[in-house]
Amino acid sequence: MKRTLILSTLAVLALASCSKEEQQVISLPDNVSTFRKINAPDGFDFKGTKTITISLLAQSGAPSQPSTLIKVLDSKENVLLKYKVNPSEGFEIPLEVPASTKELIYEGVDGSRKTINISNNRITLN
Amino acid sequence: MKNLTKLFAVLMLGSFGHFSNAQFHHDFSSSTTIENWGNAIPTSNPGCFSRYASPHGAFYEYDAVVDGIKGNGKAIYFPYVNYQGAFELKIEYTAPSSVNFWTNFHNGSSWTNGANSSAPASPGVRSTYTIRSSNLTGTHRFGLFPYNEITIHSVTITNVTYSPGQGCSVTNTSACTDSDGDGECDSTDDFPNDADKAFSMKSARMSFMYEDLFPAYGDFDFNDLVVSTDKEVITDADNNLRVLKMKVLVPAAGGRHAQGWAVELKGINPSDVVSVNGNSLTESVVSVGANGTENGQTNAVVPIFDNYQTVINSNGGPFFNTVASAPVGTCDTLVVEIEFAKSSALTIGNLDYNFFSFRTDARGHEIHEMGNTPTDLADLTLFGTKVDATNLGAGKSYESVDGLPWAITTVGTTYAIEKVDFVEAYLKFAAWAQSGGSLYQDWHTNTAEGTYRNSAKIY
Repeated sequence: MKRTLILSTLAVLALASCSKEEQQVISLPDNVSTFRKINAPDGFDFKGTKTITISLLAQSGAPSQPSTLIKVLDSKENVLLKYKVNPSEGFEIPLEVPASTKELIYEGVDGSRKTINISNNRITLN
Repeated sequence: MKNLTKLFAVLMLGSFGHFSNAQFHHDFSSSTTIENWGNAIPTSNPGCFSRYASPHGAFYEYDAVVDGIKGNGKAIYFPYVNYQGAFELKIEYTAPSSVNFWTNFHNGSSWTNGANSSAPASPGVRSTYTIRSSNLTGTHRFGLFPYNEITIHSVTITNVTYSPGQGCSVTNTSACTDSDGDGECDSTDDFPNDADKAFSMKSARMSFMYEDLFPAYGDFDFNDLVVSTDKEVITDADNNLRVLKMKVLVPAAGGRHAQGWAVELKGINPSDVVSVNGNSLTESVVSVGANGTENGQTNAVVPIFDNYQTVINSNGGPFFNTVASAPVGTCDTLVVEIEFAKSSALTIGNLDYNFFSFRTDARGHEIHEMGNTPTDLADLTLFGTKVDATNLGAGKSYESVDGLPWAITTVGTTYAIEKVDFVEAYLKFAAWAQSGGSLYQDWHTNTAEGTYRNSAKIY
């Protein structure tokens, strides 16, 4: 049983590197015909959300200055975060997002935007 | 998460005070009268510019030719303004050559922050001299003592308030229109006429799907209770958390037990909550305090509804919107608003949600997402019975002996029909779970028939 599961997992991981078209023809592992047979790795919690940490690093040596308004948006233009921040001090804030979120959009005080990838559940705005 | 939240709270408390878009700005190309200053610091007309007059000469009067005021070895004091911590003072000037000067702030009785400085200049070119600080509060007037000729064209001081004075003409140009006076310009204020609110943040809709036979296994259709919620977080101009607004729907309920639904806000004290409105409590299973949070809890727990049957309009059958052939029922939309005290100094980073269902006839019978902790009122005797393998000391909760959950969350909105095993409806769900969530993260939202889903088994 365990060996079968390991082989199934390896097969899934191997196919993960294939093209999207190839992924779409993958069928379920034969041994997972019911929910009860799911063998998830330890620590997996079946949650559809994850907590990421958004940070703006303090600008070393910069003089203190009045706060500015920054925004963080998702790909559907939902404004997830609006925050007044002093760039010379920076900030760090946890935020819950859908587990599938891979990148977010940072909008600076001047309205300019840049897309930032989420890495290790962290996103650094500068 | 908890430690992160604490770290964040410490950072915030140490870093930020009130921020304002109010400012003082005066352009000397406008008509400016300047109060004369003899041998004492003038305080009688705090809203005026003041200059050294007799016997020292002075900054010249407004000069239409140079579009500013000239000074040479003399002094000028700007009007008193009220500083609120961080600020930026910017002087636009021209000079024949670099200028040395002494600056200071005067609070009406003493100098502070005096400093010698030098500013570069090129003939005919407007330059800017800037002072930034984070810690000046109270009423001060800025003094400039140049040792060389300089012409000042304008001055801007951010994050300060100014009151016009008598006996002089000072035109102050506000940074923006701020109708509610909360310090945030109307153009960036989502609530321009409400000083308690400034910023609105919205997150993607989430659906919570439950098996209600915890701590035993059920039929794994995960439709015994389905709840969807849209969340909106509202903060004020100082980043303080003021309102959590949730739009809640019960699209389906195919379970055996009447259930309620609630949210624990981990790390937030019940006393931080001012009020709860819009929830539905019709049974006597939940005891709440005057502010709407549940009594007997360490963290703030807000019951959303205590019996889903009171927020749906049933189709008459035993199951609600889980049997494809049965008439479709409708559900009410609850808009629940949780108001937080400004004095609590919470921010959006303090929101750590722990949603859970509970049985209407047994409040302690809670079901949480795997890994989330029970509330203080949960019946802990259920743990470790039947197929539950909760071990709170080891960080395991609401997890079966096979590592399976009783609750699933997703950004999708569809769900399996009655008695259909979840993996038969959503064909990539098992692979998603067995990959630890790295593969097929779109298991719920991808509508590819036959590969991602079997629509015949989805409501």
